[in-house]
Amino acid sequence: MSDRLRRFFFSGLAVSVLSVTGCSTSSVFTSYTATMSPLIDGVKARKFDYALKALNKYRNSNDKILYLLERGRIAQIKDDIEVSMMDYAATIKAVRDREEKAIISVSDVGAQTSTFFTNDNTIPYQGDGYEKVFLYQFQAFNYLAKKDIEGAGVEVRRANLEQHLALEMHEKEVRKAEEKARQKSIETEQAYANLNAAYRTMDDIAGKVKNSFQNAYTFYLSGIVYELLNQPNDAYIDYKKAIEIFPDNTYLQRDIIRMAKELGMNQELNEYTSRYAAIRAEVANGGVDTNTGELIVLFENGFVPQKREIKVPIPTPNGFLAVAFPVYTAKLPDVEPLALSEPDRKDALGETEPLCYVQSLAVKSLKEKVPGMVVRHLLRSAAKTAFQYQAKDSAGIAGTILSSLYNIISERADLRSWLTLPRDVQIMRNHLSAGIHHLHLEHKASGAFSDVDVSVNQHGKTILRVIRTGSVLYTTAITF
Amino acid sequence: MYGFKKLIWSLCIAMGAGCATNVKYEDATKVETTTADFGSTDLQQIANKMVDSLLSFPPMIQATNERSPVIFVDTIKNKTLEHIDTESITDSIRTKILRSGKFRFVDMTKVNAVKKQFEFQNESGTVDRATAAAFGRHIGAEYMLYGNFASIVKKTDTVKDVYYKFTLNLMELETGIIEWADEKEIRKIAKRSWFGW
Repeated sequence: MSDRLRRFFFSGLAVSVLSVTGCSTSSVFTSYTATMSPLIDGVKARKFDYALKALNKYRNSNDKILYLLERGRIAQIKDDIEVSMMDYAATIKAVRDREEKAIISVSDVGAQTSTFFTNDNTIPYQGDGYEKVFLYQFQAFNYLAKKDIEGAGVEVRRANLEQHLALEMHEKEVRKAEEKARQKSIETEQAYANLNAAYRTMDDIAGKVKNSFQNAYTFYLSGIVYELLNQPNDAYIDYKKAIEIFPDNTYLQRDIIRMAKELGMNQELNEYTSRYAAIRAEVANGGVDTNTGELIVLFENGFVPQKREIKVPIPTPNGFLAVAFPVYTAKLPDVEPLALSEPDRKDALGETEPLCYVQSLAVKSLKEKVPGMVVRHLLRSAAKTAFQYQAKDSAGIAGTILSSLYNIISERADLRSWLTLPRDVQIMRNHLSAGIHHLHLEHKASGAFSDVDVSVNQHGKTILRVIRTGSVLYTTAITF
Repeated sequence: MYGFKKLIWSLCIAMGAGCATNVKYEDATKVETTTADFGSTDLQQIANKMVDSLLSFPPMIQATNERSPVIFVDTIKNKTLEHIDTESITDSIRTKILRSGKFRFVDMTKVNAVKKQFEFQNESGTVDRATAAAFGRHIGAEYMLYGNFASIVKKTDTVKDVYYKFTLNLMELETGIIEWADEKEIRKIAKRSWFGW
């Protein structure tokens, strides 16, 4: 390595150290999951304020989008609507600022450069497609809790736009990254071979979804909001999008048939009734009592799995270099429904059915990022090998040890992702007589149960949102 | 050495000046293009267009020739992707129409406050009966003003294209006929800059 190259390397090192100033508030050298795990355990034990306070100090960090997402969600579980609304609004602003940033931004170039010398964690967190969609959707919940349906409408439209844009841009980006990887095909081949073995277990889970950002839950809430806004056409379109993504949910099938009937979409109605024959018979038999309203249960189950780090050996002229990759190892669990009953009337109301596997979205999202990650790793290992070689040349064994040590310390996988999202989402939709109902909720898989009073208005809609963390159910009922 | 010190000082001063907040008054009707979001210029453009259109519409000129009919303002439905205070737009429109002297308005958002005051004047016993406002003398509105505010947003990596459409309708309450309607379209394009921090 020439002197110039060496100077370049050390100045790069300096830049990277500068750009991650305040290492304590970044995930460059401590993994994100290590920071978050104790906080999530705290949330499971109802220590909300501790987690909110701990996360507050990252408000202005490089990864503020991520920390504010967690904070907004934890505040929402705590039912602190004001705080959640403020945090999500701040996240939305941060996301926008990123999107509107100059195309060639000095700070971004700095962060990208420093990944050559440290790891992917130096790139400021931008939020994955599915996370941004959930951000807008959860903000819509805050507006609903304040009975501001029009405000909720704005947020669900934003969520829909985000899904639409992601779909458009996604294909372009994946193609670009693959192209880039192909240009370095000889080097990437070995890396891919080693990686694929580790990533094969993720294929089944990712296979459950078509892409990482479109989810039926968001479209379903959007449909509900449009129904509340008295825009049945828009509601029908979003229910249709939801059923396209998740065709097996019988509550959704019922909604589609009901809406198609209401709107006089006869041809589509025929199509749906022949496709969902069981539902058709049911709808034909039970005419809905006029003195009823709808109870819509939205059950957000557990927490999404966390990424883990694996070391994959990549061959270099100076021997193997261990490269850290993020991976999801958690298996897709069985469906764990929530059972609802009304003990006063000795009436079992039914069980929730799955609508969205957030775990699959997260896994798919990681898989989509692999080509870009591999390219960055190869560039990085080239820089690090050059450093190792140079160190051996100029400082002998001590230099080799030092540079190897640096490689071990600095080689960390990017484990960042929104961890307080639910693992999966299930729904139930029922007609109940107008008035107050004492409901009993039971989640057999975790042993969690809860009793909740909900009021139902005639021809109205009551949204009952249930969030399970550990063995506790948090419920919020909003009556319209 | 002296030169170096001077350089440090001037650097400090330059940095300090850059950080100090700078406040100045501007013309409220000056065109504002800070972002592509809904802003003051859009609000003013919408209000001006709607008021001019309504007041210059021949049937309306005729209807307001000898008397000034009463209007009540219903809400504008916000169908955009932004949290916009549509009441602020209708406030501007109402103020401008009112100041033309052609129409009069009743305010439905204040019905409860007015009712409370009525009760206080007539039933509390504290107000002189002779000066108390009498029940049942309000004038019924003849027209209703209502509308929609929709937007279409398209985005690529570098360009954001926003299209707004504001529609306003005036309905005669008795017949249900829409006597006047107009729309204002606004289109804005924001491009990301190439270089920056």
